[in-house]
Amino acid sequence: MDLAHIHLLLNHFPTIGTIIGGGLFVLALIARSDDLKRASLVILLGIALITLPTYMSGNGAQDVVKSLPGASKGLIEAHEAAALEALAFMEVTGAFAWLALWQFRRLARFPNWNMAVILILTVVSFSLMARASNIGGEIRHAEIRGVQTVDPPEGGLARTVGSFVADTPWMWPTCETLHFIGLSLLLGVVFLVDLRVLGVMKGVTFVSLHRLLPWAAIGFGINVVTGMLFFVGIPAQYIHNPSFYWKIGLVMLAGANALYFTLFDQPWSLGPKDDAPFTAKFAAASAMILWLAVLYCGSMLPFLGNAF
Amino acid sequence: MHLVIGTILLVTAVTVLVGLAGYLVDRATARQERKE
Repeated sequence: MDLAHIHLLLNHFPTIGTIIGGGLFVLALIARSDDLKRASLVILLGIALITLPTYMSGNGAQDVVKSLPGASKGLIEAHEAAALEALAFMEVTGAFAWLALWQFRRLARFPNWNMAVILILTVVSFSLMARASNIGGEIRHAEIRGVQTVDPPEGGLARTVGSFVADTPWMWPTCETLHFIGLSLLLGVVFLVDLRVLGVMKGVTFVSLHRLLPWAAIGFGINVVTGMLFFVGIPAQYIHNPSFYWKIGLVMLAGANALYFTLFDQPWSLGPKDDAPFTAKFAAASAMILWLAVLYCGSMLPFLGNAF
Repeated sequence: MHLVIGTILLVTAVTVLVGLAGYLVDRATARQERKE
């Protein structure tokens, strides 16, 4: 199995998932159901996570497809540009979905302003996803290209951003520095929360530490943005790198794990001196292991996979 | 732009912006929690 297979496996999730998550979200708004809202926001957050490997595997698929007879380089680059725009909006949608879930845990209700923001972002993300999917389909399906005879010009957003990142001397070191700041924020907060659940500093309630979670989310956000800039800058050094595959897989698992501490009742009810149940301790220990493994795989990119 | 000045300016600007975003989220939530 190569990245083309993985891209074919993943590429329907962002579009169909946004329809399911977005449809459920609209239904929840109409029915005024908090449970439905929570379910739809979890789906949107999951789709935001899965859109990352979908985009990245697209660069690997590009390598395979561009050498096939009849493949248009212009269409491939138009698909890449449309996918990058869709990815950007989907990640912002996921960020607001996570914030809403965090706010619900603290306030026991969803703020109206955030519901409006998520609704608008979901509609825009779906439109961009559908456009990217349609162009992607046109690459290998002549029957849906319609009457268009002229290929789109080569280049586009992804290559413009990529060239800017790769060719501007201060861009890469700036992103590297910000990537480390994001990492410190993320791991600092995650480890504080996990250590409390594991039984360290039992005098602190989980509710107090839960308030710090947006700082971890901001750290994660910084790292998604800077990480994607690295990837778009020089995709070739990542798409053939096993260390990078592991890193992205582990980020998906760690992201899913973070939902437990954002939303679930078990850790939330931990008062002063309370001992966490086994499930919470297991989630905390696995979160620490997962994030350390992400950090390790990221650091080992140049050594295990010959990046840089 | 000079390499050192460019990186310092950009890193500072982004850090201040995201720091402000985090601070505003924290304050707004704390205010809501006090109200309820």
